[in-house]
Amino acid sequence: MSMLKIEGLHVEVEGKAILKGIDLAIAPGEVHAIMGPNGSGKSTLSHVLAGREGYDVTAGTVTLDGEDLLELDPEDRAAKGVFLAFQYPVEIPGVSNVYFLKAAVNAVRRARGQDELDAVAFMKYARQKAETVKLPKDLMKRSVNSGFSGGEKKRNEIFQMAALEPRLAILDETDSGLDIDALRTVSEGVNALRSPERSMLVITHYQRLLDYIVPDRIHVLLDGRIVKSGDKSLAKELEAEGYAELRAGA
Amino acid sequence: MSEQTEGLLSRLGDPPAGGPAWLDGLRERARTHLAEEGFPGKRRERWRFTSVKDVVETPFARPDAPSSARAWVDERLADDGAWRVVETDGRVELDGAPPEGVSVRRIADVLAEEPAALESALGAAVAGEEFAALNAALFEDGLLVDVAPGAQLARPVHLVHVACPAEAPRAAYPRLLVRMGTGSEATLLESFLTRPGGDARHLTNAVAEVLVGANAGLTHVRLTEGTDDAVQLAYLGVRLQRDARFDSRVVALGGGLCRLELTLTFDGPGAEARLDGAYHVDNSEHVDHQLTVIHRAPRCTSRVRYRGLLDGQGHAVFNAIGVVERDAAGSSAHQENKNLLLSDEATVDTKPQLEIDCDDVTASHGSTVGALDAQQLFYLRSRGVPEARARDILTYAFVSAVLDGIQPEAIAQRARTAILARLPHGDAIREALG
Ligand SMILES: Nc1ncnc2c1ncn2[C@@H]1O[C@H](COP(=O)(O)OP(=O)(O)OP(=O)(O)O)[C@@H](O)[C@H]1O
Ligand SMILES: [Mg+2]
Repeated sequence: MSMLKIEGLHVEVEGKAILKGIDLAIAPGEVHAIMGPNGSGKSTLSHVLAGREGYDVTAGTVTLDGEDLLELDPEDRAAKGVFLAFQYPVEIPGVSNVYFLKAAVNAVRRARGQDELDAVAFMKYARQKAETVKLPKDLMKRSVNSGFSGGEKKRNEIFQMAALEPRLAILDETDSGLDIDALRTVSEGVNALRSPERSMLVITHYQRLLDYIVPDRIHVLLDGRIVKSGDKSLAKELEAEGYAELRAGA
Repeated sequence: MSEQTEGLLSRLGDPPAGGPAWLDGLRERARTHLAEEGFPGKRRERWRFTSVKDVVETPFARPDAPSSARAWVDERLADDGAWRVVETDGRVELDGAPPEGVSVRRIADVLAEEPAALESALGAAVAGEEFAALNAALFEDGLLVDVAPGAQLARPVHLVHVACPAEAPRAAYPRLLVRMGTGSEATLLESFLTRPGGDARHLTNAVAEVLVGANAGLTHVRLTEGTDDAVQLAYLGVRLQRDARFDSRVVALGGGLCRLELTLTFDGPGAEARLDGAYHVDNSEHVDHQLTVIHRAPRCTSRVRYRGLLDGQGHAVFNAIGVVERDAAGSSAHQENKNLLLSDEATVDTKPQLEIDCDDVTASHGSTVGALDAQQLFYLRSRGVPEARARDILTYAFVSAVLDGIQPEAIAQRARTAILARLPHGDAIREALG
């Protein structure tokens, strides 16, 4: 059975149709990639999955492990295991990164019926997770994403992902803004999180990322529709040919 | 006038005696000013939203030698790594040696021993008007902080002002003068606390003057923990020489009436000022910030960022004027005031403004009264934090952001603890984050 199942999803923003009938099924343990030109609706899809306000779902369904996702608040989706690594991570001056994560991890643990971690246990846990993405120590203490470089923000997203241990991880252009070394570390961090119980949806513009995080399937999103799906070789094809031919066909 | 002579002005009849002639002159000018002008009323633009009528009518007595608050302070505040000086109702106690590179002396001692040392400095950054004149006329002691040229203080200096209310109204007139030598660096913390005692009103009429020499940098954290009967009418004047830096973080946590007038002047080119502040009002508290930034020299940068949290029937006033004079080419002057309303009955009067007399300037000013940031809220919720808790955390962050980057961490931590102690669900926020 699919872990994530999207059927006939139509989404509007302020009366404008953005997603125009998305069908997508991801089985447990699978990694799917979505590629597509700017403005095709990739981030819109990721936001709708995570439960952001401001999107009208006019048709279709989304289920996670058979449960209707669209009726849940964002925090309840997180508790069920949805995690979105933001394309543009949000800065929160005034709250330290590590304390923020403690609030998040314990909220999710509570919702999942697990014991909360006390300050000492959490610090140990966080340090171990930070190690996996080589997050510099001072970024743990500084305010959430505040004044972080583009690459540091992306690394921080994967740090949070590692700590929250999601069922479904959606990575929205996590590779943008990373230099080649950072890309390798972050990809290794992501790969370390691949498991038979965890699915991933990886949004990217670049084949480069998919050389590191090798996907089971690649989908091309164009003007709110998936116009082509294939195996990992599709990325190379797209990189060589661009979207022109697909556009002409659509 | 007749009512006023019953109150504050009646104190002017008995000025501290035995000072040097120049000081008598200063006090005399202050007295004349007050006798002629009286205290400001609502007709004055800068006092439109803050009434001092009942303060002026209150017969505040000068405290006769209050018992030292040092022990009370040490019990209340954990060691934050700073060198601590306690001032009890304006009387300074020095304990132990200050960090290397700084000389810290009681103003009373300096006036007695080498009065000429202060002649050109006292009153250099704060004009002797209104309540600053009251302080000039009546102050007896205070702190003189001289940071040696090139010195980098290894520890911050923490000046703790303690107000000691009694059975009858009391007033204190603390005075602070900080001189940063060329190329020196320091962090100075000022805390304003109230030691529980009598139920009568208490006035703290504080004047601080900060003179920052060429290429010197001062970080100044100023924290007021207000109480209902505490009145604070304070002045902070800052003058910056060439390439100097002033990093100011003001945290004003309520109080019956808490007002700060901050005036900063760029006297030399290439200097920088960061003026950040946060205030919180609840119940019927009243907090007022009046900022004036004067760009007199070219290529200086000022950035004013104040944030307010308004609850209960609290009232906050924020007024900032950025003045760019004719010769201040290449100036950058920015002013921003953001407010978060937690209650329908709370109010804020906010007015950041610019007076620009020069073409070559980058400037901006704006104020908002609004709700929490929707993107931040979604970010927290997407990480599993329930909405109500996420709102609490963001409310706290809105205020505590003013402390970002302050070193050492223990100092920021103390201010954060004070903020949490006042916020709705502060315990839960501390529990979630701590
Ligand atoms: N709040 C909004 N109001 C109006 N239009 C919006 C809003 N959010 C998104 N859109 C529009 O929806 C379309 C899809 O945007 P989306 O961010 O999903 O694209 P994307 O595929 O992620 O692009 P990119 O590769 O640049 O990140 C764009 O045309 C965008 O302008
Ligand atoms: Mg996008």
